[in-house]
Amino acid sequence: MTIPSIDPAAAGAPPRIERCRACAHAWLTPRGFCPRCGADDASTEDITGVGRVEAVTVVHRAAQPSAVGPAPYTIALVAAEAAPGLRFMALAPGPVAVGDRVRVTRHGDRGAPYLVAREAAFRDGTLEQ
Amino acid sequence: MNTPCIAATGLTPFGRLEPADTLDLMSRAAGAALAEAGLERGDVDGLLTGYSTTHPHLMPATLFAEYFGLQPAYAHGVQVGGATGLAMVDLARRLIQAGAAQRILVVAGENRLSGQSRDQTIQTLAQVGEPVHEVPNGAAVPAYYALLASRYLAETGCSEADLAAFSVLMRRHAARYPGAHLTGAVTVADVLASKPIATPLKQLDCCPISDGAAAVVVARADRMPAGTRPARITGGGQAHTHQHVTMAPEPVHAGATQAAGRALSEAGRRLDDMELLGVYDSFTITLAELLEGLGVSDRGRAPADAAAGRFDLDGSLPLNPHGGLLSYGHAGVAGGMSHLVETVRQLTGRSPVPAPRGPGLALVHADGGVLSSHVSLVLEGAP
Repeated sequence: MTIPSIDPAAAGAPPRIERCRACAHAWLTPRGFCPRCGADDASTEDITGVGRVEAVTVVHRAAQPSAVGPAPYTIALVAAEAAPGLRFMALAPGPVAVGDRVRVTRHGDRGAPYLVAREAAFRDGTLEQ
Repeated sequence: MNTPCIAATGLTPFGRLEPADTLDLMSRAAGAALAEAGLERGDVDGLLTGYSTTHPHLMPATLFAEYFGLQPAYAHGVQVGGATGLAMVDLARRLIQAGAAQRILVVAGENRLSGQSRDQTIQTLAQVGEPVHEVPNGAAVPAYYALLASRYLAETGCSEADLAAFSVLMRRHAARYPGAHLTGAVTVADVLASKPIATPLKQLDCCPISDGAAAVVVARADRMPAGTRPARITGGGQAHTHQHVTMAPEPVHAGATQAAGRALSEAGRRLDDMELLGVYDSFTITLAELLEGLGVSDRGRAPADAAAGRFDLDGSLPLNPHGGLLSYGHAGVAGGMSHLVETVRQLTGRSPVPAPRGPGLALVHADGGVLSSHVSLVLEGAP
């Protein structure tokens, strides 16, 4: 598979998901039907990419460059706030850590590459940078 | 006495075995298993084979049957990643129980090390990732497991040094085991100093890529020649919870819990009855998650149990006496079968490193994908 090269400074778009109109279940890989209830009535929607980092790895050994360049590069697993149970895998051009509140943006027509950046957020009443 | 059993095993050394190719290696393991079983080729009426990344084929079982010289009444390939070997044995015992075959050869092997480049291997294995939402981010199998390790360390408070206990243990076991790929002793400091692959995993947290093959004969004991020393398969269970790491359940090792529960229930045994473990160990984190998912260790305690000697050959619950994937080596489907072969050897008095306590009951478990597909088997020695 050829991985497209993208500019980490580009704005990107909100993540695009499918959601079941019958049971509200949400998923990432488009398929037009609901894998939970089986309904054939799925909507496509753009959701906020805000979420919490569940896991982070810095890849040092890779068979090919990532969308933001050759190894080392950082991949994060992010739990989406807008759709419980839905996770993004995203490249992090800057530092992120487990537990960080972040924003995921889409940089491809259909799905990945996704980029993730720390989200300025209020936690315990103070602005967290 | 119609409990399906593993009547014989065959296991090649693992390592760099060129110029042998997939079919050569499979033939070596199959020949060894038939010789141990005292069977001729014509006695085999069922054949199940794994896949080979160096020799992809639409009809792997028929391909091997022709090459090796079999004309079985039942034959096909099976593909569930690292769980394929145990899944084939689980299927074979069900075929035996159903009367569909009497003596089934289960075999897999490939020249994964010498038959392709390391980058080709990494790219082939990356297929277990989701093509639209995961793979374009530059992820491959070590990165998927690294993400699991990142979560595990954050959740449990364990350190990278704690996980390294599994590398040290598997290398210590492999050092005494004939045919192991990696036998030089390693320390926790060596693991921590090894080059980073995908943090927090270093090279010595990862299994090597090996050439090799493994085979077993699954049969009813009363359909085997006199003198056969079988290990009975008294329970089997599976669970398939997801394919991609972004779709993994909570807890991530739920499939291991479910599969082991089903296998133990069928066997009428409790986990506490087990005297030996054969557990898939593609990475140190794999062992931590699987041992805790199986219920062997409490959450966050598997690395400490390893460091304390619980899983040593002379410990209370020996684990992978052959050195596992981490050190005996990983030759694809055959890698996942090596734990099964060594478990049968231990239970039937044929291991080159017999555990001092003489285990009679064992649980073997493997996962495929990213803790995606799970198969557990309960094996028992002579009643």
